[in-house]
Amino acid sequence: MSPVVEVEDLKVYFGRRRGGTVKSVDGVSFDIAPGETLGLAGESGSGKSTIARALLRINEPTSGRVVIGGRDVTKLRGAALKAFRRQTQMVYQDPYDSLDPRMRIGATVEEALLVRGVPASRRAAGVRELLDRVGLPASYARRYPHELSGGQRQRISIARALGVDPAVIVCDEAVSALDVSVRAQILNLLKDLQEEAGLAYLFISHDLSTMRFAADRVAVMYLGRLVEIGTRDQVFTAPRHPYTRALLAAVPVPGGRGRGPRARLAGEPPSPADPPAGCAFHPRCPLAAAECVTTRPELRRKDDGRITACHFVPDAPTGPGSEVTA
Amino acid sequence: MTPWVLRRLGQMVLVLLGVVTLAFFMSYAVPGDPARLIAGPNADAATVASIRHQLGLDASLWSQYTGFLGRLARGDLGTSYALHGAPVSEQLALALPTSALIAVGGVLWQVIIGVPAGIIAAYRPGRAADRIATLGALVGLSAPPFWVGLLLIYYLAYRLSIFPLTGLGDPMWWYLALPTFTLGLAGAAWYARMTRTQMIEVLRTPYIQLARAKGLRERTILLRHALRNVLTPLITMIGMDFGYFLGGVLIIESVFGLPGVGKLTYDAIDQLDIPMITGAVLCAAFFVVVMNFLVDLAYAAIDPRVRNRR
Amino acid sequence: MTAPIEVPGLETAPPRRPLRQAWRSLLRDIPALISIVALILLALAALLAPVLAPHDPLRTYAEGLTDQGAPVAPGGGFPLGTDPNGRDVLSRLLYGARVSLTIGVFANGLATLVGVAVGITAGYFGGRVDTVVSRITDVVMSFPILLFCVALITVTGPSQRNVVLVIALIYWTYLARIIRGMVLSLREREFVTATRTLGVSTVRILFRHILPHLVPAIIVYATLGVASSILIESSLSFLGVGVPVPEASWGQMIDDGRKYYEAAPWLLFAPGVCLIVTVLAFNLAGDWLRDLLDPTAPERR
Repeated sequence: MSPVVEVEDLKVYFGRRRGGTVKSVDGVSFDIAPGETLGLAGESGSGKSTIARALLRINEPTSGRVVIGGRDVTKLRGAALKAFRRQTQMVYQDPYDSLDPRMRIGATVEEALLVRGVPASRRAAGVRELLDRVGLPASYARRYPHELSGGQRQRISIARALGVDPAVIVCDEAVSALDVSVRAQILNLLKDLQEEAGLAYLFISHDLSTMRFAADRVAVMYLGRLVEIGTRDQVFTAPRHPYTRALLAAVPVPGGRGRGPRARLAGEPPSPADPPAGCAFHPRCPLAAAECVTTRPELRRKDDGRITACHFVPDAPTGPGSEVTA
Repeated sequence: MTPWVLRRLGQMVLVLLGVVTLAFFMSYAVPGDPARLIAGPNADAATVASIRHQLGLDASLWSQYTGFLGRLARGDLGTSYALHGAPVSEQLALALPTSALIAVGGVLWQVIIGVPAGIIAAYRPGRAADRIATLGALVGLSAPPFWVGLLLIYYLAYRLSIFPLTGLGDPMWWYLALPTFTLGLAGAAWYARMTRTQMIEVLRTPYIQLARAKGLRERTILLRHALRNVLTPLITMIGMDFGYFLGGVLIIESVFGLPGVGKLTYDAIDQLDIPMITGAVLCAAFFVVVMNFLVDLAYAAIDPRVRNRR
Repeated sequence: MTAPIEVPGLETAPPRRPLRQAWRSLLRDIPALISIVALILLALAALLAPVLAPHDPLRTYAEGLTDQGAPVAPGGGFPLGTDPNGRDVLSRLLYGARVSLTIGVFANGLATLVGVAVGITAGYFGGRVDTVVSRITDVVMSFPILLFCVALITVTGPSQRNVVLVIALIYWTYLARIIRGMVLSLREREFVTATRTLGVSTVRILFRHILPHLVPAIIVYATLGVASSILIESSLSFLGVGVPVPEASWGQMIDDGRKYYEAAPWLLFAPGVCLIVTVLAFNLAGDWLRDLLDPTAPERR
């Protein structure tokens, strides 16, 4: 099946008042097939959210192409932009801020139907149906957001997104603010909806255990660039990039040895305003060599079909952190 | 000079230019003919025309505007219609020292009344003292200063003869006591409110709680530690108010008959002396803009974060 | 006006029963309750001035002046005495209430309308519109309010309409700045972004998602604004550039009285008390509304 989302060499730069630019996203490419969940992992500040916001045209891409449903959406304006909006929706991170506190739930959800042009007579039924699809009783339509729990609010966010009948939903840390038990419920709901409607998800999270549960494929980001992309099993069982390994090593593994080699990631990530030369990861990388300081490794398809950006990948079949594999 | 200071300076010049432009159009939009006003009702058309020409009123709008700017750059604010052709700038310069004295006194009273009231209110928020101080501040804010001034004159100067009635004399501060108090009373409410808000905020912070836990006396905490939080906004308010007051306190000066910029303006209103009014307005706005700039500068010197904020 | 701006919050859901909640909080706040009552009485007095006034407010009564030509003291045929022109003070006070309230409400209503519209536009769209608006407000706010009003009215000529227009011309900037700041932060809230990416039209976002959050602030500032508008009007009238002369205005009554205060202090007291009570009532009501609509108040979750 042809991908529903194709991102090609996407760059999002921000000018700073005091001179200089922040290359928040610097040449990222990926695609997502219908019914597929692409996970986007990385530390905060890596540019994950900026990709999400560029996909929805909240932030304007500096260059590159974002093709959604066969159409480059980076240049859309006016009515065409509004029409595109309906194809891509987002479930936001903060359940306490993503719903208008002065609006009843019903009105919030109804707004999506309004955008889709559903006539007024059928909207009430539409709201009931959407609430039902996200597992909430119709009576919730009369409530205000502050009367709902975090998980319930995220369900409303999902219902609102579904209301415009999108092809793609971006989940930007959509479950990160929730309790673990609630988190699982929401993730299951997302999966059910995906099967039902063939939705494509871009699933952004810094939490790798969530990622492992939710994603079909995983892309790992570091300082505005992808460093590795592969299927979930590839990335989680045999990570190739030292950064991915370090990330995974930092995750406590259920059933694993009590005290595995942890904290491989020394220090904070460098500022995206002033990324290191060469491979941006080199100051924290256990494998770093002279080449890494001068030359930036490109994201390349390796012999085994894996895509990663590291000078050492062919030469480093095993490395520190690989013993973590469960 | 850092780029920030330069940018802020440019901003100030831009605002000043806007102020000047607005003032020019205001004086330009006067209905009626200033030349006729000067010439008097019995003058013939030729005299009026020659005066009009003399004043440059027959030139185009643009050339009048540039002429206005050019004269302004040389400190020339024109000549008064009413005061027999006296230069406006000279009159303003004569009146300014009195206004400056009133401004200093007014600001002092604001601080003397406002800050302690705010501290008392913040000490136990919601209690009687707080309610009384807050209500008192609101009363001060709601009382028309001209009325308060007249009442003070009536009771303290006329009935009890404690203070001089109006005007200036010797000793100066004795004559300025009532006017500056009246001025300060109205503004003190803002100082009280600001002090209260800032103090309550700081009293909730962990470091004050630590100071309490260490057993420091409440008075020490309040005056040594919490009051510090009030200083920066206080300096801002003092600076801004000083700028506002320097431009003449119309009401106070006219009620108490003090020969400051405000009184000058008040008399000019009576005589429809447009150049004088324009000059006074420009002078007042100039002080506000410059004080605003200086306050920002002082702020930035204290707290470098300010420089990045705008 | 250099006081710190306390903006009522953005978090509130609309109260369940707004009127009942307001009533309950009013019963707990005695000064506010008294102010609301005072404001209602004041509005009634202004409305019913023709019925309530014992005399014609503009007419000079022969018996309104003593044989020496001085004003008559309170009591007798003139409950609050007469002014130096032999006119009835009480009647003038009642008609003065009309002037104060009308000018206060209209001037401030106009300023609020313009300020909110401009503030929302500047805050939401940003860019060049915002820069221009910010510079204009900078310039207007550089003039001391009263002095600027005086100069403008001297130029345009004193009349009730001009007083309203001039006050509005200056006051809109203060509200515009506050509203702009609020919209600036509202615009970045996720629920606004979410609505925008849903494809909802800008007009609908502004009216359904931005404006409702501004309503508490607008109510509070509009109420407080009436207080300062009335003060400005009275100051202008006191300086002789407010409401034109035969019409009664409290500020101008005080101006009339200042020449006779030694002999006739009631000329100062009566209009002054009316002014301070009115302004204080609006201020207290505004503060009460602020407390009522402020989400950080303890009763909110």
